[in-house]
Amino acid sequence: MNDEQKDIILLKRIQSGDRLAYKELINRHKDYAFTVAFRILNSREDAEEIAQDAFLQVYKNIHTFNFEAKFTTWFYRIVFNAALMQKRKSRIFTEDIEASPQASMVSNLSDSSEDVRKNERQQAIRQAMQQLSADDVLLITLFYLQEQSLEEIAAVIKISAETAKVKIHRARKRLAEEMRKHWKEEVKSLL
Amino acid sequence: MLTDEQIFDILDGCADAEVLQQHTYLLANSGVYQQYFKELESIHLDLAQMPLEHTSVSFTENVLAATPVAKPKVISVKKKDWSRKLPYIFFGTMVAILVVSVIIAIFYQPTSATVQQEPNILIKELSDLFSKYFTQLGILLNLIVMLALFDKKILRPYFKQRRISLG
Repeated sequence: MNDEQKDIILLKRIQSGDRLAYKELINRHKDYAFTVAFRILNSREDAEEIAQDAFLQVYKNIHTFNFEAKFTTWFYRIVFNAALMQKRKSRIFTEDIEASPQASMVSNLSDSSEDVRKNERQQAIRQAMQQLSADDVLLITLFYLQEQSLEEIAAVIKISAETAKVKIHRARKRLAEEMRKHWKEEVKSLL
Repeated sequence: MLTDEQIFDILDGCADAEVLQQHTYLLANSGVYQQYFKELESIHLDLAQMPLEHTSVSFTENVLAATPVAKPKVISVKKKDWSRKLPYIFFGTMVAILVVSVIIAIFYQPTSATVQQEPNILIKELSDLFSKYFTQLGILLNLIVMLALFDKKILRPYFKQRRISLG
């Protein structure tokens, strides 16, 4: 039985009022929902709130789900729309404490130099991602999570697979430019 | 030089043979290309290695706690079903009474020939009972059903609306 079939069974059980199935569905998808929201919002607190709201919306609208689309396509669209609204609402720059350079410096103290470099790069990518549009962040995140096909990813933001592919290419190029800028500033600050 | 799209196709593992051949050549002969490819490759690898983020430990419990448990829909549906059946019960009863009345009327249909007959005591008793109690009971039942309908469809909505507007 593949993941899609498992989701269908769980959704049918939830529709008949089975709360254990709902719990199982949450546990299956919570980390993915949280990752998508976190990459868009760059705040753990907000991302957790958005992921929770998304699951509540799923429960509330479970009877409207018609099983024509994949559950994850429907679900990621809910997460994405909620994250987008949250991002528009809180335009003030809020930096996640764990994601801040100071925090990473503290956590880096116990890591090896290879881990430190890796963490720094990932930190830089997260920051560079904030310069991209929410669509692009979602496309890149879902593409690299490798849970969905390009067609399914495209369906989340209602574009064609071809357009999604082009957008992913452009987003990665933009990310590379942002990273270049970031490293230049790092070098300047060291000098 | 290859385009960005072609380079990303190589990194995603979906480039065609011609592009791959060109890539191998450029990688061996062009320092600029080599540097640019390495840059995009490192971005690609970093993105691929980015870990799945994890929620807090209490995430599932928090969602379940915020999810409504009760299902009042079911109760209201049951009540609606019963009230929906009420007109059918009423009309059913009316039809049954009508049919019984017609049958009895046919049974007692007077013949043209006047035959003096000894009155059957049992039939006479039944006839009296029917004319006295059954008709009265029927009228009473009809009245009760009509009053119940009147109360449900007119009085209750009226007072409910009045209460809301007063409140």
